[in-house]
Amino acid sequence: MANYYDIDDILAEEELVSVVFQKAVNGVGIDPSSETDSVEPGSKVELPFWLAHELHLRQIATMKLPPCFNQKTRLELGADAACVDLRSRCPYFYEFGCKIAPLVGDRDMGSFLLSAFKNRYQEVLAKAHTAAFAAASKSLTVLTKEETNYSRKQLFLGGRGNQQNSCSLQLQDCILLHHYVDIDSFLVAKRYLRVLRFVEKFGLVTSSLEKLASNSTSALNSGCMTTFFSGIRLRSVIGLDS
Amino acid sequence: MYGRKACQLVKELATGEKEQLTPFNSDQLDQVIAECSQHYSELQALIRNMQEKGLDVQTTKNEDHFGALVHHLSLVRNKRCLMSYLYKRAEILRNLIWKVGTMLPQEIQEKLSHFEEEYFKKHSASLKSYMSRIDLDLAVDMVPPKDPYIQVRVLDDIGEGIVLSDDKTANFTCHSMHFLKRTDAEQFISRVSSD
Repeated sequence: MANYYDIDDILAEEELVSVVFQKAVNGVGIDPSSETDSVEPGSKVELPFWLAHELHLRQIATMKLPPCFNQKTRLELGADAACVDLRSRCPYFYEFGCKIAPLVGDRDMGSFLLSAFKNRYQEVLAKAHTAAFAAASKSLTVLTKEETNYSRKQLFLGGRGNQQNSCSLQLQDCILLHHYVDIDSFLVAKRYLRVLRFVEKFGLVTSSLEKLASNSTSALNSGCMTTFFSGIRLRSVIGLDS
Repeated sequence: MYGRKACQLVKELATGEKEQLTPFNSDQLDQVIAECSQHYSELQALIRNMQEKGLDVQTTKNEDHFGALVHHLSLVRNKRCLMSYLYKRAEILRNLIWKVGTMLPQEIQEKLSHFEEEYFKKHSASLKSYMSRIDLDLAVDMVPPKDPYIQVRVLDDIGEGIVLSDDKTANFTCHSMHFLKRTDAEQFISRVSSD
């Protein structure tokens, strides 16, 4: 659970979800189509996530998958993740996705979010180290809120070549991955970040980055816990643990 | 929609520059609190309704119960938004002490509510008492200096015969240059930057 005072968490929970009521509810004005102050069973209403979530858990209403995670978006992200305008669809795409995944019972959500994040992150990183700030800020408009937060820092720090700092910042900002719904993809994400750090430090080319990333994914699938802990040991041995 | 106003309040914090205060939005705050009282009275009405029907409020799960639940959840949500609004502002205020010192400039003071001013005063007072107890001014040298000495140019006539820490006196006439201990110069430098 995120910090109680966390502003981004609060705003992410304000995203609308459409729900279908299973039970009648009296004395509330949440259904704009209803004339009285009550909701009939079977009526469809758009509710903010914080309310829909609790009603869903108590089986008063069932939640539907929001449009920003529908098949069309998935196909677009699969085609070219970095170009999709996620901000206009949902400014808290990852946070919201992680929150909603266990509720709508979508098994692919975790890996879908991870692959979207991975592909887009790579693009942001590349832009941060190559493009001029003026040109790059144009591409900021398609990023989600979470992505802009870290890419801003990347842009400033990357420009100054302050690699040590930008490494630690990346990790800090990618704490958003903490909310990854299944432990597998969370660990994959963590490992992926370590790989990125590795790349930052030793300047590997993009193709070997890809290879490293794919290696860690498959390794994690075949026994993620052991790999993860040995990864920590390995990291301290080769002195990456700065 | 329930909780919308409270969320706008939080959004105000998110859209502003980081570590920058926006004017205290007491209007919106009052509106949210009014919304909370409205929720509370509606919740009470629903519970009363259940009691009049002779139902057990603890165990019955009818439409009145669900209605009360929605009001309860909205109350909890509004509370979270309000708390985080005040908490974040207090956090910014606490950080300000380290940046601008215990005297706030006029333009920042105008953005504070009465309670925040009070909070700021008390917080800086307790910081002061802590610093006097450990006999160390924590507000100087926020970035560790590379050299204990510093070259300064006097911008304003601040008088003659100012005693420095090594029992010498210096004449700080306008535009004169001095090579001083950093600790001696710091108080004058900070006076310039806060003016």
